Amino acid sequence: MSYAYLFKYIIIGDTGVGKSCLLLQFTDKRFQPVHDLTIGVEFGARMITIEGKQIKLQIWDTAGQEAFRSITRSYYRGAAGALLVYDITRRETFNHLTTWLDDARQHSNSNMVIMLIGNKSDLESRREVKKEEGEAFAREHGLVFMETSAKTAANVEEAFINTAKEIFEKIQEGVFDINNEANGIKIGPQHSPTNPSLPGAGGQGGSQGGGCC
Amino acid sequence: MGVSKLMDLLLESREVIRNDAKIYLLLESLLLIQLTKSNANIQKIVAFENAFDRLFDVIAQEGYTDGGIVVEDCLLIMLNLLKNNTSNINFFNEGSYIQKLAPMFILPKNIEDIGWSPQKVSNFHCVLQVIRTLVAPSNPIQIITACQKMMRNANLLEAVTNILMALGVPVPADILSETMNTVAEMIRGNLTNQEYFANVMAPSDPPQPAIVVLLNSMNEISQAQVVQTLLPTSGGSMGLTTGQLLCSGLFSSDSLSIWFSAVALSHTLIENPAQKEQLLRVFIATNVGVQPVSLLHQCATYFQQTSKLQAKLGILMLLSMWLSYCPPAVQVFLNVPGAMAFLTAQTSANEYDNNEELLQGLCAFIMGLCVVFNDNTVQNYNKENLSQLIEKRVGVETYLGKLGEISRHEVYSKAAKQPQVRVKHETTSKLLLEYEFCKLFKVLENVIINALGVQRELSNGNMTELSLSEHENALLLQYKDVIRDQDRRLSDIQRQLELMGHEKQHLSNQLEELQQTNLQLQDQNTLLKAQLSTGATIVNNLPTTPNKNEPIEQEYNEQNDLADKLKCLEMESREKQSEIDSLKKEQDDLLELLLTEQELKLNTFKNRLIELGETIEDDPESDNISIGSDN
Ligand SMILES: Nc1nc2c(ncn2[C@@H]2O[C@H](COP(=O)(O)OP(=O)(O)OP(=O)(O)O)[C@@H](O)[C@H]2O)c(=O)[nH]1
Ligand SMILES: [Mg+2]
Repeated sequence: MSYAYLFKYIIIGDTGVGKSCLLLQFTDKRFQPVHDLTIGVEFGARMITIEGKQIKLQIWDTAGQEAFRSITRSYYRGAAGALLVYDITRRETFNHLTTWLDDARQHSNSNMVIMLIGNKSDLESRREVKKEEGEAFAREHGLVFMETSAKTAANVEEAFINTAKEIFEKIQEGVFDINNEANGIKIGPQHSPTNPSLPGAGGQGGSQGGGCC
Repeated sequence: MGVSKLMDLLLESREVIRNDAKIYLLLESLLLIQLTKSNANIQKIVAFENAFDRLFDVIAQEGYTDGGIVVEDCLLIMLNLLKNNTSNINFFNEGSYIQKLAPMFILPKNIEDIGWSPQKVSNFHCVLQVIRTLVAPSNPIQIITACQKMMRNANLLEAVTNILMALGVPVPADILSETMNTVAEMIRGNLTNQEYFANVMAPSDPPQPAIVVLLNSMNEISQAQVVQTLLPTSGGSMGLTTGQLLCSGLFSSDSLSIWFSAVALSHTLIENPAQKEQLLRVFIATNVGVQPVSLLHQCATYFQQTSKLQAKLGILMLLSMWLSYCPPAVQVFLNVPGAMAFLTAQTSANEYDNNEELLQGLCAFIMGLCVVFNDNTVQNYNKENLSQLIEKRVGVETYLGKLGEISRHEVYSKAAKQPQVRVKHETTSKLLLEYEFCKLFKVLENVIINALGVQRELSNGNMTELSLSEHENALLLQYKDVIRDQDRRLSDIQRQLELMGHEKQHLSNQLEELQQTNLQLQDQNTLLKAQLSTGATIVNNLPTTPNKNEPIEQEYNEQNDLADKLKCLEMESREKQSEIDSLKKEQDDLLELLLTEQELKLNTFKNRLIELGETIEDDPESDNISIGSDN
């Protein structure tokens, strides 16, 4: 229940590339075969462990449809990590990456960790974008890269966890200002030196207060 | 982007303005309240921008519920952000904000002296609304469950329950009733939370009877538990139980208590026929020395006596729930003196005061239930008699009109839409109908109308049991027996069928197994055969075989030789045969020659003899000679 750190993520990319499926696979270990178009933004969360530390991931899955772009932009600024997703079976989703990246870089804080994801790796027979192309794009723009399948769950955990590792490293290098919550990072209750809002939650059952017999 | 900027403003300006001009903060929050009211996307962005942290910070700095209107504003924004926004509720729960609600319920030690300021009451109401929004029955079930669990683990359930149990501390009545509703929703459908609550609840003195609203939240097990507490026990007094608490509420002097108690008790019966029959076993002593009467009897007597509309409606709703689908309850009810007469009078009345049309409608409804769920065990009020009563005394038109009053009433349409009982202090007298009753009514109204129609047709066709002659009646009874018998046999046969079905299943399973084994054996067989044939080839190819074959070959050769010899011999024999043949022929020829020569000689000698005068007897064998000699 309590965590050492809390990271905020966003998932971005063209419509239909599998953003919601990736989130669902990560939080619920399920796959959703029909395209349930995301309207605006949906929220999901999960706890992970990195180097023995509990880390809470709060993830905002955004809508890929052009019409929601302005809403999506409101989420860049407060995020510590972003998964930028394309679909390896649709080249145009790969071609749009630069637009997404420009948008993200423009609206986010400069330390935001971006993980490039080529999704639907299970559809090898319909592949239109080579793995090497993804790797090259990532190298060129300083991103981390992975191919995933939200359907078979291949690399899904890794994608979310490696992004967290990256952020965690940046924190330890002192790159992130963890006291500025606008960076999308929070320190857990038991780690923060002063936490004014905790009189009830800390001690188990020690907070009955007045009134009881 | 506008929203984010606004959030910045709220965030940054807080420090600056805290001391000088709270008015800015007020203005901002007013703006935010408006903004967050209806747009789900704005609500989500605001939440993403750490709004809950900001709001809780402000609330804490302002002194929680003891704070001023700023606290109320913050809570209102929170409420807006959460209302009907599953994503944000999920975020609120996942973000550990539920923990931050608990301190809101700590009452100051000196609350008795300072009392509840109107602002404190408002703040408190808002916090309760925030909690109710998180666990509102309209939310997805997994969200409700997750929030409920968190509320228990974060000691929020405990904190809120403590307000209920705050004996001796004055708590305004409307706060108290809203707190009850809140607790009810915190434990609704959640066994663990209910268990927690069941253990807490043991006030020495029955506090406010309205506490029974909490039964709204109970499931089947709790339903049984409540009824259980009312049943006669062998042991002596067991102290105060939930059920007794309910009963004391049911027959108290306070209309509202009666209404709530009746509704609560009716909730223990929802779709639970077993409980309806169990509850029939409950008897209560109304006065010392007076024979105890059944709870149902007492209810049926009570609504005839009381003049309080709210109380009457409550009891009638309880009776509706109880009588529906429960013929034994109908039987008890029909035996209560005056009950039917009262219902008939109410239903046939053609004038009423304010809201009394509801009362009359409910009376009509209960009459209808008595027809539908009647097992004809009460002679005077069997199905036929009752429908005659409705037709002749009340009149079908009037009856249907009265029945229809219920669903036409605005109180009905309101209650039918609201599973949550929402009460404010000043409006408690408006509590008349209740959600579960409306549900029941909706289902059964048509059933009643149909049943009455059927009965009417039956009597028009002179087909009722009453109109039959004694003989016919006997016949009818006979037929009924036959049918019952057949029914029993049918169920027997069905059971057998089921049994056989199982057996068949078993057998076909076995068959399948056997087939499987068979297949395996066949496979093994094939395999063995294959092995055998490869084995044979291998054996043939072994070097020992030529030795074995030698004698056969020899024989064969010998045979061949023999056959050749045989052929030679056959040839030889054939040659010899032809030689023999030709020799035989020569012999024959020679023989003939000799014979001919001899005959010639013989003839010569004959002739000589004749010449010599010798008589020669004709020898038959020498014919030609004799002929010749005759001439
Ligand atoms: N075979 C396969 N199909 C996938 C995979 N991921 C997603 N899909 C399918 O792709 C379609 C779109 O997936 P979503 O996750 O709804 O797409 P999205 O990116 O959230 O789309 P928007 O919400 O419109 O932005 C669905 O039919 C998914 O079943 C994958 O890894 N493999
Ligand atoms: Mg989506």
